[in-house]
Amino acid sequence: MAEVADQAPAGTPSPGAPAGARKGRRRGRLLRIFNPIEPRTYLIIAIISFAALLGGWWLAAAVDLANDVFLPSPAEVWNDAVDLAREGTLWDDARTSFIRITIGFAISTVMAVPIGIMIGSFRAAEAAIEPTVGFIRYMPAVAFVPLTIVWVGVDESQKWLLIWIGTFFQQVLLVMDNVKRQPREYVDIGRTLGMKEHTLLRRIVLPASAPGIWDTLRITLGWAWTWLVVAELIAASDGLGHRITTAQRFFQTETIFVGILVIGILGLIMDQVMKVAGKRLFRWAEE
Amino acid sequence: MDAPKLSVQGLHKVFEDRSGDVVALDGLEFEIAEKEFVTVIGTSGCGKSTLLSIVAGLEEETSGVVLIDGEPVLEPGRDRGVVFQSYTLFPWLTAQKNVEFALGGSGRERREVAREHLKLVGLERFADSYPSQLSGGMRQRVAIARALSYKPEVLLMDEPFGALDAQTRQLMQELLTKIWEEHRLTVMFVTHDIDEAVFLSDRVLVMTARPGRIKEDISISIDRPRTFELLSTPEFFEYKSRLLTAVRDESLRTAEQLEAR
Repeated sequence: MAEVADQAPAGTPSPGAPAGARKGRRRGRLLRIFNPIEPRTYLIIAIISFAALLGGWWLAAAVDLANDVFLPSPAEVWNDAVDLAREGTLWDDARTSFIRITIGFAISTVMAVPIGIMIGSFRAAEAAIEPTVGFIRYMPAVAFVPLTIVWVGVDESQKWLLIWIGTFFQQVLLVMDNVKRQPREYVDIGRTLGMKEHTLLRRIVLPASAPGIWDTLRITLGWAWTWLVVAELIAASDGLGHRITTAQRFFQTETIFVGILVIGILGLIMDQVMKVAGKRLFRWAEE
Repeated sequence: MDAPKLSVQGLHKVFEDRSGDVVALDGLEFEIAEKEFVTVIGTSGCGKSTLLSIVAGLEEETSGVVLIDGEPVLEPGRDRGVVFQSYTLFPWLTAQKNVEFALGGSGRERREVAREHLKLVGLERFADSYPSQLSGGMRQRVAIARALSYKPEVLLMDEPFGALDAQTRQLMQELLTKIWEEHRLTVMFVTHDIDEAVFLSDRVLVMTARPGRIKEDISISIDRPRTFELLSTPEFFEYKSRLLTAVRDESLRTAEQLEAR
């Protein structure tokens, strides 16, 4: 009976087929819109996809699809990474970049969250700030690089400033949106309990929008990496971005690859840390 | 007769709309006595929720006045407890903390009062559950517990069971009646459900379609305590059919208004 069910065309009811077989039939369809799949199947597909990418790279390098100078093999990149790690430069660069992004991102967040909450809560504050921020947001942060150098030179504060320019304005508007999306009813309840504005903000608006704000921080942290690297590519004497520029000068493509991959991995780790922390902090927001 | 607990006098509410002014409430007049359970019933869009918002102090009237114990309502206050239809609980707080949220005093006092009121609605076992873990009916029970916990003078309920399924709704009505019969407080209840209005109330006020006015004021003289058996008695049906006629006329008018648009 189960075989019959398996062969039955889509949508044909097969009375008498055991429930298990029927379920299996549904689950087995990978090309069915919104159809759920087993977590194991998901994992397998993900691994295959990743392996295919790596394999493609390896193959392309092995058959000399491109000159070694342009496309080093995975093994060369790995060896270079090990060397850089052994020398300590990799760690120094990663640490420098990590500290830069942390400080730049922290300054931006500390400023953007309160401002975003204010303009999300008060229309007057929105009128005062939103149009300006909305305009500046469309000015490309990269175009500010020369200005930042003129303003603050090429020391650490220039990196923070660029990260701030690229992150702050986006954060403000996203946080505003997080706040606005909260149901009016929550604040109404607070009012019926006799609460005044500052209490409403602290005890209702803030906790209600906290999970959304956390997501905003997670997303903008990802973007902040871009601005960090831009800052380091152009004017820095250390950091992962700087390592990439220097490597370019000497055609050390494998070091460029190491730099790019390490930046990607660091970003991924920070993102996952934020994700797990968010899940723990806002367990109530699940479902 | 004693001075009314709640008095609504010449209440007008006009909204500004793109197409001009919309009169939501057109000179509402009524009174609710101390410890009386009064339901305001009307078709959707008749302004009954607007009325409740004004009494709660969340919206401003265009003219007229709402008096509680002779004092005009100017803003929301703890003399009025409110239960809404949806988003009634804060999802980031447990049931217990949701009730405590409304309370002042020392931590211990708050915990005890909250616990006591969760028990009143039969949810002491769910004190540490988050709203997402509770059913719709349970959430409304917590909301009722919270509104009662700080002992308001008047309880305002805006279709509190409107989002629940029919069976849960019936159970909630029984629970509310039981609590009310034991504790007696002044209630203004808003609904569009006729059975609910008859079952719960001492008096039912029927509102007209927009612009909202009080069309009929019907006393429900059915003995208490009331239980679900009441629902199949002739006297229940008598009130029900009377209200049905009154409300149906207004529904027809609402439908006409919508078609004329």
